[in-house]
Amino acid sequence: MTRWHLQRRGTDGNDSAPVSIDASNIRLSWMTGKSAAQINELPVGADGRSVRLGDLFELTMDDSPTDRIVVEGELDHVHGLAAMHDRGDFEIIGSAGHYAACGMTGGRVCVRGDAGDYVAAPCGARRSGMSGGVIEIHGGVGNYAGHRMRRGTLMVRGSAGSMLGGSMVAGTICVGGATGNGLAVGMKRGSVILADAANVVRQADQDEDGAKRRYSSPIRFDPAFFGLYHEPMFQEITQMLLRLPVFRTRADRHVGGLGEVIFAATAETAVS
Amino acid sequence: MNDESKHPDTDNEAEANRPLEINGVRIEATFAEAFDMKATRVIITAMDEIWAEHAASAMSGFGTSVIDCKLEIDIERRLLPSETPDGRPGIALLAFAMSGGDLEKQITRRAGQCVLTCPTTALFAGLTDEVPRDKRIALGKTLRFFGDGNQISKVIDGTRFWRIPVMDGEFICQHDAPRVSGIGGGNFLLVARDLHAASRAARAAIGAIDPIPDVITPFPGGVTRSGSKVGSKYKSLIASTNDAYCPTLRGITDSQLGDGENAVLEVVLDGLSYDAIAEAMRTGIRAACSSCGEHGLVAVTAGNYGGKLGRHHFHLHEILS
Repeated sequence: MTRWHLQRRGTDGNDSAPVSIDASNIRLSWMTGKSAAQINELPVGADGRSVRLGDLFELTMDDSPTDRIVVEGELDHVHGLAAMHDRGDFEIIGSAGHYAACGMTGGRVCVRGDAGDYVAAPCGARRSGMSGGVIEIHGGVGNYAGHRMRRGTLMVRGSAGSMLGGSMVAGTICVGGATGNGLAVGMKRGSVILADAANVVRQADQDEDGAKRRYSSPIRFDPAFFGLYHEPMFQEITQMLLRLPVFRTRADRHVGGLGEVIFAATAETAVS
Repeated sequence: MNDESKHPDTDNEAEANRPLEINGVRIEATFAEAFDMKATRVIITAMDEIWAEHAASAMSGFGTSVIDCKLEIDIERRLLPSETPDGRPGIALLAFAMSGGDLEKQITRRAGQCVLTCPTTALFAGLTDEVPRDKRIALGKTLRFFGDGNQISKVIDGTRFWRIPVMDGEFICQHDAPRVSGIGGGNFLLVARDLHAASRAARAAIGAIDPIPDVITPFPGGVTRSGSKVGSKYKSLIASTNDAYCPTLRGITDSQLGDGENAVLEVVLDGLSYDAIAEAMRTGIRAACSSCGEHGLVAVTAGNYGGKLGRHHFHLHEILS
């Protein structure tokens, strides 16, 4: 087993440093069995041009108990990290750009920071988003997280932007912080678990964007299936819910969806 | 088949026939004959121990002998919340049948009628063996259809679970459970001066066997009084009373009982391995002899069919030495 460590080369004071990097070619399945020299030659998109991976990242390879890619450094302009990830671990130390773990089908992705828009969304022109594996985001995520997600688990310790779980088909999204507008728009099936549902309840009460009509009436719910998840972050987030009465609403009723949004009643949601 | 089960019946006859007593109880130089079965373990959890117990009792009801129940099933042990898949109190059951088809048919029916119906319960596989799909027993795979399209699937750590809407919330059920090879028909007979002594000895044996993993004693209270022989004078019966050990038939049939041997109870064991059954027999027999050797338990023997029925032979002297 191998650990590939990619350290983003310093960009301080370098005006010619790329503004946007497409790192979706960095895939564990491709790297397996390749030499360091071959990996350094991997073409990576930088501001629309193709450059060598070795020009942007410093690669080191070690033995490891599991196959693992670690990308570290200033990454908020590096997009498509862990795209189509299908096995082993992919760890991002720092805040990732857009499309992190898009189209992921298996394995595990951990972002030790924030992630941009379209986390676990479809990759490129594909129709389905994430279809397997586990994503763990230690910070927050941008808009369209879990868009068209089909299976797997997305956990976000921080907040999420708008359109969380939009057009979701299946899978589980668990968010510890606040969420933006348009939650579960077009959701067919799947589960969205929210520790902080104040904004969602406010939207539904005010019927912003037809939110009230998107959700069924919330009912009290005993989420016994939470016990099946042994991920520490999942347990950390759901523990916040389980101290309070838990409710479930079905979404998106506009499209006849049978998805579920599970949340806790708080004083704030009761007042709003 | 492990090495222990290959012992020929006549290995070192002198050794096998040496007299053996435990606390004054004669241990016969004979063997219990057991046979291959198909087995699985399921775990029932619930909001509290009471509902789990109700479901487990229902599921293991009418599961004493494959002769007519088609399934031998019993509670293996109670589980702490930390030992169950969903962190709730639970009960592990072991089930044994003569074929994979019988096992699947019985488990699926019992899960549907006894666990799905019981408030707050959930049902999980209790074995983690990697087995081919055709050697897995359907649980939620079949029961999910009760949800009438409203069932929800969750794949967690590679395992599929079903959440089936029911009137108290949701019934959570693992998709399927592995089916493995097991052994059925391990046994020993407690021969006593009277029924009270036999009953006390049997209870002591079952109490000692209870904590042993991978083994069940499927008869009521772990004990049967209706030990059987193969066949009958009636053509429709495949088994009939074990007349050799019926005290009331002594003098009429070819009895194995001597004077002062007036009551016999049998402990039947099914297990996931030879070692598990041997350990349970050893523990049970020693407990019975220790507690009742001076109070009416006269002898311990075992049932066999001359080695023709099953390939697993548990020689009493060997497992107790």
